[in-house]
Amino acid sequence: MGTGLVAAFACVFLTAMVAYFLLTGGEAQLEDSPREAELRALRERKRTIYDNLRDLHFEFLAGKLGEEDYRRGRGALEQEAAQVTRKMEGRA
Amino acid sequence: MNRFWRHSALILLAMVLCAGSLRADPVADRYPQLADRLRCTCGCDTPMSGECETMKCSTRKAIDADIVWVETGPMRNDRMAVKLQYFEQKYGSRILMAPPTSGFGMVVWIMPWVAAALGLWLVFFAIRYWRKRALQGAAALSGEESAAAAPPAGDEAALKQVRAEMDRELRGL
Amino acid sequence: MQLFGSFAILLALVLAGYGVLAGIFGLARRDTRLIASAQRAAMAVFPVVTVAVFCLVGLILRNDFTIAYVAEHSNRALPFYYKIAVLWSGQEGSLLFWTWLLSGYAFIALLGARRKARGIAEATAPGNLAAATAGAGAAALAVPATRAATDEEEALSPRLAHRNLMPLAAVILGAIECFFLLLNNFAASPFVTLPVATPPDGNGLNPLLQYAQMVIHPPMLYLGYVGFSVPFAFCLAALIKRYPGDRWIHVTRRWTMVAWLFLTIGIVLGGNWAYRVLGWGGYWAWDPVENAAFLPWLTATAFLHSVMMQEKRGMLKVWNVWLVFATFLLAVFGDFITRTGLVASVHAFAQSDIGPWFVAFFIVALLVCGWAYFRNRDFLKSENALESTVSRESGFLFNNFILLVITFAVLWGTVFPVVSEWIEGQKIDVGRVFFDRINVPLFLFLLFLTGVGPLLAWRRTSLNSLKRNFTAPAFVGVLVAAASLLGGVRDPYPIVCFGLAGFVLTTIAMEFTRGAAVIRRRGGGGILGGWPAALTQLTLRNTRRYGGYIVHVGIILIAIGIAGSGLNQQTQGAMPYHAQMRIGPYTLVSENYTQNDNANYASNSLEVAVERGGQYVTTMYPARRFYKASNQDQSMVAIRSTPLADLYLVYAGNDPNSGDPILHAYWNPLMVWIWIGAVVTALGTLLAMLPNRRPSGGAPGGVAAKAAAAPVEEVHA
Repeated sequence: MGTGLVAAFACVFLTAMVAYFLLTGGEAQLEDSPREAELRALRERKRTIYDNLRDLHFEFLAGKLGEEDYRRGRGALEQEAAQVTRKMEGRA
Repeated sequence: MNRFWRHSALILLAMVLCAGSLRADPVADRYPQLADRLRCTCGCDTPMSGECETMKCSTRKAIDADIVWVETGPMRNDRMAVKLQYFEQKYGSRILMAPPTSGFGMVVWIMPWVAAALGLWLVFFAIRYWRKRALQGAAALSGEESAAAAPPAGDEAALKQVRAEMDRELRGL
Repeated sequence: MQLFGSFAILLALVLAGYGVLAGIFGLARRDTRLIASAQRAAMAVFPVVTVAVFCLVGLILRNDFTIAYVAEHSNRALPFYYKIAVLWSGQEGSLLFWTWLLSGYAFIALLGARRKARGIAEATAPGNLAAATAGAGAAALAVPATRAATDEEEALSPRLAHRNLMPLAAVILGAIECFFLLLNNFAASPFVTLPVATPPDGNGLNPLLQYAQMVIHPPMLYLGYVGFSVPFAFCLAALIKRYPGDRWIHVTRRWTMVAWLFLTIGIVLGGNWAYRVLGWGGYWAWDPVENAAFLPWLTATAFLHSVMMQEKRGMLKVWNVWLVFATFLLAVFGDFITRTGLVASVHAFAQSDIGPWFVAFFIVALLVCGWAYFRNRDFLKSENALESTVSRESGFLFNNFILLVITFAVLWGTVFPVVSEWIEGQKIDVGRVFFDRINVPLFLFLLFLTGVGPLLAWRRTSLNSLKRNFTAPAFVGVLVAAASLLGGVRDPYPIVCFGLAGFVLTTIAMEFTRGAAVIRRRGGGGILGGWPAALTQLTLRNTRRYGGYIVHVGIILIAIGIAGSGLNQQTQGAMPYHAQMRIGPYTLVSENYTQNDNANYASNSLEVAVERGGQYVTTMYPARRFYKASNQDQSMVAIRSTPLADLYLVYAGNDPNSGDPILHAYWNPLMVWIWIGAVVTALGTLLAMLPNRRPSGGAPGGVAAKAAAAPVEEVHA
C-alpha cells in the first residue's frame, strides 16, 4: 500500500512538472515571408558559387588544374553568378 | 608370369589404398571439391574442408561419413549438382556454402548483376540527359549571340559586376 | 518503480501524440502558441522516457525478479556494469532504449532550434547583418562586402533552415516516437510482471554479451540507426514545405554525418566483438543482422557523397531525397528483421509478434515519403547540366551506382531465404560465399573511384589535367601490386586491393601536399612556417574536404586489413603438456592447464608459450568458461596483435578420449589495420563536422589573401 502511494504521488508529480513545462512556454517564430525566403535562397546560391570559385582557384594554385580547365571553370561560374544576380534583381 | 605380375600389382594397389584409408586422411583432403562446397551445420559456419572449432560439434562426423558415401558409393559418378542436391535434401539448404547455380537458386546470383546493368543504364541515361541539356543551353546561347551580336546590356552589366566581385572575392580571401 | 515506469511511458506516448496533433494544427493555422506548445511537448518526451529508463535500470539493479524482463535477462551474480547492459540485451528493454535515444535526438534538435532562433534574433537585430538578411534593397543583392558579414550570413543560413524546418520536423519525429511508444506500451512493455511465482534468481545475461565491447557496441549501433530519423525528419519537412534554396540539405547532411559516425563505430565494434568473442577467427559473416546495420550505412555513405552534387551544383535533388528516405526505411527494416525473427540469425532477438506493427509502420512511412515526393517533385528539379562525362560529377554518379548495387546485393541476399520460401516453398540459404563473390569486385571498383574522384575537376577535366594528376598515383599503385605479387601474395583480389590502396593513398597524399605547398609558398604555415603547420591550416580551412580525405585513408586501412584475410592460416590440435604446434612464423608450446570456479562461471584455461625462431615471445591464455545461470559455455579468445599479423588462439574444448585441451590457432595477417582504420575514419568524420576556419580576413598580409591575389588577373585576362 505504501509503495503504491509513493508511486501514485510520483506519477502526479511527474504529470504536474510536464504540465507546467507545457503551459509556460512562449510563442514560436514563424519563418520569413516567401519573398524574403526566396531572396535568401538566391543569396545562398550566389554564396555557393563564390565558394566554388574559391575551391577552383585553390585547385588551380595547387597545380591540379591546367590553365584551360581553370579558365573554362571560372567562365561557367561567372555565367551562373550573373544569372543568379539577374534573378535577384528581378525579385528585389 | 604375366598373370602373376598383374595380380601382384592389383594386390599392391589394394594394399596402398587400404594403407591410405588406414592413415585416415581427413575427408576434406580426399574430396576437397565436394567438401569446399558444404558447410558444417553445427553453427560454426566453417566449410567442411576447414576445421570446426567446437569440440561439441555433433554434425560434422555424419556429414563426413556422407561425403565418403557419396564419393565412393553409387553416386560417385554423378554430377556435382546432383551430389549437392543430395546433401541439400538431407540437411537443408544451410549445408550449402553457396546457393545452387541451378533452378530457383540461380535467381539469387543473377539479380545483383541485373540490378547493376539497370543501374549502369540509369547512370548513362542521366549523363546523356544532363549532357544534352548542357548542349541545348550552349546552342541557345550561341543562337542568341547570332541574333544580336552582343548579349543584352543587362546581361553584360551583370557579368561585369560578377567579374569584379569575383576578383575582389579572391583577393580578400 | 514498476508502476511509475509504466506510467512514464504512457505519459510519454500522450505527450508525443499531443506534440504531433498540436504541431499539425498549429502549422495549418499558423498558430505560434500552439506550435510552441507542440515543440515543448516533443521536448518533454525525453525526460519522461528517461524516467522510465531509470525505473527499468533500478529494477534490474535491485534484482526485482517479479518483472519478467529482469528475470529473463539478469541474475544476482552479474557484475554492475553488465546489469546496465541488460537494458538493451532483450527485446522489450532495447525497444525502450531505442525510444529513449530517439527522444534524446529530438530533444537535442529542438534545443538546438531554440538556441538558433535566439542566435538568429540577435544576429539579425538592427545593425547586425540587417542588409544581408532582412532587407530587400540593392545592398542585399551583392555578396556582402566584408568577410565578417559573409561568414556570418554563411553561418546563419543553415541555422535559419534548422529553425524554420523544426516545427514540421518535430511533428515527424514525434510521429516516429509515437510508433515506438505504442510498442513500449502495448506490444513489448519491459514492465510486465511474471505471471508465475517469483524465481529466486534470474536466467542471466547471455554470456556472449558479457564483454566490454558489448556494453558500448549496441548503444553506438542504436545511436546510428535512430540518428537517421533526424535527417529524415528534416528532409521530409523541407520537401513538404518546399523550403527554398539548398541550405536544408546542409542541415540534413550534418545530422546524417552524426548518425553515420555512430553507425560506423557500432558496426566496427560489432566486428571487433565478433572477432574477440565468437572465436571463429573472423569479424564479419554476412549474417542478416550484420547486413541490417550495413544497409543503411551504405545508403547514408552514398548520400554523403551525392549531397555534394546538390550543394555545389544544385543537381541530384530527387536522388538525395530518396537516399535519405531509403536510409531511414532501411534502418527501420533492419530493426524489423532483428526483432521479428523474419530471417534466422545468431544475433537476432527471440522471435516475437511485433512484426505486424513494424510492417504497418514501414508501409505508412513509405506512403508518406511517396506522397510528399509526388506532391512536390517539381520542387526538386535539377538546376544544372553536365558539361563533360569526364568530371567530378560523373565520379559521384558512379560512386553512388556502385554503393547502391552493393546495397541491393546485400538486401537481396539477406531476404532471399524468405523470398525463396514464399515462391518455391523451399528455403534457400545464402551464405558468405555469395556475398563475397558479388561484393568484393564491387568494393574494389569503389576503392578505385575513391582515388579517382578527388582527382577529377568539377564540370570538366581535360586530358592534360588527367595526365598531371594520375601518373604518379597509377605508378605507385602498379608498384605496390607488383611488390605484393613478388612478396608471395597469389590471390588476385588482395593484389588488386593492395595496388588500389597504394593508388588511393598517393592521391590523398598529393592532395594534402599540393594544398600545403600553396599555403607555404604564400608565406602561410604560421610562425613555424613548416609543413605540419601548413597542413594543419589547410585542413582547418576546409574541414569537410580534408576530413573526408582522412575518412578515405581510414577506409583504405580497413580495406588493407580485409585484404590481409586472403593470407590467413589456421590449424587445430590436442595440446597436452609440452606439446607443440606451428602456425605462421610461431611455435606454440603448451605450458600449463588450469581450472577455476566462481559464482558467475567455471573456467578451463590453457597457458601457451609463443616462440619465434627459437626465442620466447610471450605467453597467452586461451580459456573456456561455463556460465552457470544461463547454462552456456563460451570461449575466451587470446590474441596477440602486431602491425603485421594477429596470433589468435581459441581453447576449442577437450579431447573426448584423452581429456587433453584442444587448441585452435589462427594467424591473421594485417588484422590490426581494420581497427586502426576505423579509428582514423571516426577521427576524420569528427574533423569533417567541425566548421571551417577561414584565414584571417582580408587583412594585408593574410595568408589566403596572398595566396589568392596574384594569378587571378593573369588567368582571367
